[in-house]
Amino acid sequence: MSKTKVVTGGLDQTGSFDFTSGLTLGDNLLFDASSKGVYIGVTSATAANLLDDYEEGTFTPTVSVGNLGSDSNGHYTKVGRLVTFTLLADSLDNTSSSNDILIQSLPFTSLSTAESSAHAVVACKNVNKSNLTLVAQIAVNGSQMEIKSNGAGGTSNGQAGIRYSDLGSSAAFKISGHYYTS
Amino acid sequence: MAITKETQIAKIEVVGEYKAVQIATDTVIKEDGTELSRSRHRHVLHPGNLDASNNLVATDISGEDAEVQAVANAVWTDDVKTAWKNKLIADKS
Repeated sequence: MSKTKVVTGGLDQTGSFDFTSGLTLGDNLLFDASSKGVYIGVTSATAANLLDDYEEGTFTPTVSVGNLGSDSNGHYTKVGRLVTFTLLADSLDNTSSSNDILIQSLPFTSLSTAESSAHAVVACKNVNKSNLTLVAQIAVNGSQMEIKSNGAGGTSNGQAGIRYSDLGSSAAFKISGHYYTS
Repeated sequence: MAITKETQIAKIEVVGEYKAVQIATDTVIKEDGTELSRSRHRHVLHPGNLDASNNLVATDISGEDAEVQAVANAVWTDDVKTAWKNKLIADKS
């Protein structure tokens, strides 16, 4: 395909162009307002097809009782409304509280709808419980998640919270998951 | 050639009925004033946490940027704190 170089110094055009043979850009595409995006898979402006947000970055997880070790960290990528994250909550220092464990400070507030109460996958070390299958339940309308056991002895929804007092020395959790934000 | 590193608060957003305060902080590396790289760090603040007796312990925002403190103090009214506390208690059941 032959290419026609249109302009090198930038182009400020109020109207629109038709590119019938495709479009090759030599640099990144930048909109003049943060709310703008790209309609994908449609030939007319349809809200459900508008990809208008992308962001990647880091966050620092915290816990509801006590502190985490300095190796704790988290990474996220947000595409549209979907947030994908991984985190390490390392060396929880409280092993006596009877409170359930809450991992806090996810990078975005979750949706308020019930189905946004997503579950994330959890790997752990030094948790003094046997036969554990752990999940992390992300709260609706919040930025925290509760560590729960998916095994016997759970509450009516089949899960029971894990408490700080269930932890041994230097307990840690590695968690990955997804949830929706506004 | 001067390499500098600075942090900038890129966004402060108030989200939802419980007035979560979302903060995006950018770390910007510059060479002689020209931006070389930018990375983003996020955190979210809520009005507080429950203690073992279901009392709401207020979030310590003393280490936050003054602008963030101002926003949080403005939106975390007593009604919001009460609603947030009740939500946390309900989440436990």
